[in-house]
Amino acid sequence: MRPFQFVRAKSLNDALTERANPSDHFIAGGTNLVDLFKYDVERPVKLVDINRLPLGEIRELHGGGLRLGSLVTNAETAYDARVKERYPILSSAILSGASAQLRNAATNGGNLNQRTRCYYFYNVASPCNKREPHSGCGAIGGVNRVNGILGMSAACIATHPSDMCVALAVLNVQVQVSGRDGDRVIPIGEYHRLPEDEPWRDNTLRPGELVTAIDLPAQGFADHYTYLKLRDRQSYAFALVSVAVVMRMEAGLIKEARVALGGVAPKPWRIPAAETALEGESPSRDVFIRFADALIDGAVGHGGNDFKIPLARRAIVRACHQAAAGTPQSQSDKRIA
Amino acid sequence: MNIGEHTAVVASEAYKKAPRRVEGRDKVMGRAVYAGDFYSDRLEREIDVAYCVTSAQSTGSVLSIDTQAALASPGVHAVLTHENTPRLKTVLSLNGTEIGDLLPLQDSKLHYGGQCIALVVADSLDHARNAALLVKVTYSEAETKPAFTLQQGTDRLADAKQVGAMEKGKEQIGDPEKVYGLSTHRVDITTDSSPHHHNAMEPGAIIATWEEDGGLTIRMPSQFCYGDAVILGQAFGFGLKERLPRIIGQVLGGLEFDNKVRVITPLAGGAFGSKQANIHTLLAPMAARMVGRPVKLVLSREQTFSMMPFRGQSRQRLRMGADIHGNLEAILQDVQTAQGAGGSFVEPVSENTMKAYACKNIGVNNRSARLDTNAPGWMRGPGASLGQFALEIAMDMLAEKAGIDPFEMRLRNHADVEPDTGHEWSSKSLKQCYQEAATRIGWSERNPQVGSMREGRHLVGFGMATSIYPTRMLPAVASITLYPTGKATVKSAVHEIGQGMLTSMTQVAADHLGLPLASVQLEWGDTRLPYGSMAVGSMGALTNGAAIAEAAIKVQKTLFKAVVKNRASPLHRQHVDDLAIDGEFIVAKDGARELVAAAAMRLDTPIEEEAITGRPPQLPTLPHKYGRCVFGAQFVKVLVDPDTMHLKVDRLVGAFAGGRALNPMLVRSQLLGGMVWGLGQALMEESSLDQRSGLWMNGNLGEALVPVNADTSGIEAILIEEDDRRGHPLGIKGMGEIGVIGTAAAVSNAIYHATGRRLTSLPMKIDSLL
Repeated sequence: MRPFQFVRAKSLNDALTERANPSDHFIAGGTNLVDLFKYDVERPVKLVDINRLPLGEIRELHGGGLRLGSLVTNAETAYDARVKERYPILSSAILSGASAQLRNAATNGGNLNQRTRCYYFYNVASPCNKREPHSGCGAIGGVNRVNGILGMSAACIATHPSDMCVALAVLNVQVQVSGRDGDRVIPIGEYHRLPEDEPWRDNTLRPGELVTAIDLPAQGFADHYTYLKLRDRQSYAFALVSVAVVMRMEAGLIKEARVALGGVAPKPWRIPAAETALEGESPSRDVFIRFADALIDGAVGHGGNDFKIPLARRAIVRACHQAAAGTPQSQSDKRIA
Repeated sequence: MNIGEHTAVVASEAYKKAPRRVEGRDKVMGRAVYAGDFYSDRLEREIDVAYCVTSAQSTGSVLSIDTQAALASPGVHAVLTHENTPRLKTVLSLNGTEIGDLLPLQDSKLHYGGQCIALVVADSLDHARNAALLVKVTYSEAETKPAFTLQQGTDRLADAKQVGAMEKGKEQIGDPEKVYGLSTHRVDITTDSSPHHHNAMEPGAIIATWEEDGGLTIRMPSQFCYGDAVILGQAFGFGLKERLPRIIGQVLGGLEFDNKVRVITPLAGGAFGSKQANIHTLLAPMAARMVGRPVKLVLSREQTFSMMPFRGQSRQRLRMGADIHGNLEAILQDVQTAQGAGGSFVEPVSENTMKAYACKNIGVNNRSARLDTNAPGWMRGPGASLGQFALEIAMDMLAEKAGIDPFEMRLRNHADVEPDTGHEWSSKSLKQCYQEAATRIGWSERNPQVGSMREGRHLVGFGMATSIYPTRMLPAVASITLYPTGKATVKSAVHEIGQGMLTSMTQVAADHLGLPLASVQLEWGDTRLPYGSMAVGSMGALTNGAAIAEAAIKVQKTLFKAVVKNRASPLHRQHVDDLAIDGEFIVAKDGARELVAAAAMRLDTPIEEEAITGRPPQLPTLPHKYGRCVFGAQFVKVLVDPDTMHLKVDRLVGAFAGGRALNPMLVRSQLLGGMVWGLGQALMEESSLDQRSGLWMNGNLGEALVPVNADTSGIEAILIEEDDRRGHPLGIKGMGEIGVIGTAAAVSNAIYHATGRRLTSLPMKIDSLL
């Protein structure tokens, strides 16, 4: 780790002013960022500690939603009574990820901004366009079992590793950000971006902007939801494939459905047109297989991760059944419900 | 005594009475001292801290290495490179197959990725680590045809004359090729396994101090402090007397040498075969000599992947033939293993094949390829865990072909005598192990039809495998002094790597001396002490236990002689031969008795006795009267979700027979730990190498997975006790490896039963089930 300057921001304005250069970083829980410093992946000149900012609360929004402060920890969010009751998929997704210790330290804002787990991103002796622009992609033709199958480019096949964001994606949350030029709102679907030819840009934040909150809309889909995560061990591992499903059912028919995939793309992967096609359908294996094929349409494997294509297809079908039946995947019983 | 099922073990009197770990309280209180805990205050000397710079390339050479910026960085005292480092002498390591001929920082050549090419020494870890980032290196072109995997290195495969610890690479009884060709039922399978690392919680760590008299003091976790002292003595050019620190003197000739290399080994935070003969063992003293201060070096997790050993890649072809009734007729095992750029270690994959089953025609043949990687080395369940994977899958397949239950198949081919020698076994309770574990897991409810069993939505599969591991002994020395205070000191350089050696050895001494545990002090882990055996190959407790017991019996006899002469003793005028230790008393045939402690307190001078075990002619390589192995059976129940093919090992039940359990609690922990290792090997453990660069890509515990609690909830270990006194003076067998052996095969066999998929590649991840 290289020496850096550390400043503690006293206010939001203070924080935004202190982070003047692209090489400066905000730091909150630090569960990912500190590792990146140690691996020499990130080389901060200045760290702006935002932990004292008043962004650590969960508040009711007018119209029935909830505002999750960006400094609320993942654990506080997952165990919040309002979240558990109204947005159980969010609680479930968070609890499927990391460990209790990490969730206690990691914040909601940090979860949105965590970096990929691509092996080449972390290994500074290897090429990686995301870490070192224009150095090449080591994962293509390399060890790419954990890499993506959707939304990739010739420059990068890294995935976004969050579980929480996959749930946020199907809840259509709004990300509140502040910058020196003012505040703005980014819909979750537009927050993370595809690599294209600039894989070093994970998201659409502008330089110096800070996430202040995540707004959950009123509709929480508490009756029909699931977060199904498949991984190499039963706990404390990143998803090979995960699926968040929420549904609104009426008289046994699907009235509305939203499905997002995790572990397979640079962002939670949704195809709204395919979701629309589920409306009015009666849950069945055929319907869900058709939907799964539409959701993973265009998926491409890179050798080591070819298995993610059939795995994603199977996981989507299973998760849709779980949500439709109102039997969500438990995160403590490790058998697939 | 048959302790029976797991719950019974925990509830049994022997288990409840078993002494708790003597260092356990310190460990859970955070007071236990590991090598990395030595700072200036504990050492009472200013120490420097070193950090490695490792190569980003695997082959070719270092063209230039610019250390100016690093040297100018705050707190930096030195940067060692091949350009300024004193040359080391050749190491002819006795145990250190991993170091081999590749001594660090001797020239510019690159042998593998992540090789240490510079060592920064500074006043603190953060200064050293920061400066390490400032060392600028340029490399020559890499070699055009490197080989990092067996697939890439096919043309490098050669016959391995020796495997493991000087065992033959090629062995045969009968005429297996011919008989196999004529067998009614035949299987011919190929199995593969990926490399994986030990990933002990504690990484490699060392503090090196050059003493004023020219001697070298090392503090580091080690499984063989004497062996590491020899390596250091050789590398740093100590004279013959110094570099053979009493091994030959004590063990073979009864002579004493004054050695100048002292290795002190504190508690190890896990070792599993990884902590001996490591490269960093040489780096820290090199740095300490250069800066004139003690130097501490702790590897990063990533550096442990390239600077410490691992289990190398393997591929096996296993052919097995049986007659119409399922009786084995021939076994043929052809093994390919990976070797490193340096060292001579070849994993003894076929070690158990000659001994596992009654079969008159067995042939094993090992070949290995020297790859451009760091060297594979010993790892828990060395060789045998891989060999048994192939062997037990083949047994399952053969059972199916012959239409026999897999359990019955094993019984039918039970080796009543040691197959390759015809010797009687010292003891063997394998049939009981099968029965106990089968009953516990509910094997009788198994429907032999593949894919026929369900539990809710899930496919259910049951599988089993035999566990077998040789029990061997090494030389060891122990001395015991009984003081007139009623307390005793035991001295032997044994090693505590988490297996419970301190507890069990204190226990052996206390039991034989007739003293309470608290009255016995064990001095351990130091080459200034009598030679203790290395903590490898399930040999530690047997070897050191025998030496300590023998020394304790000598002390006992001397005490008896003193007691019968002492008028103040109730045992005055008894015959020495009529006395025995019973609990904490010396008891005479006529019932007269006296507390050992009370008798000791009447001594004028301490009693000091020494004992040596394993000295010729009892060296383990010489023929032994009995076949000696520890046996077990592992049974697995898996659940497979038919939609996603998600796999969960629902239960893993092992029953093991290893003579007398010296300490049932420690033995159970060893077995459970071994089974967790087996489960990890079966399902997830894998170190990923980039086949273009030869660099390890998942060198951290976030991506190199090992089992967590959620994976291991259904594990049970059953102890079957047996009388093995004709095999060992204490009637014990080695229990360190056995838990790992057979687990992966039992899982594979259970997966087959559930799904019809025969998985032969380790680890068995979800990819292979889709």
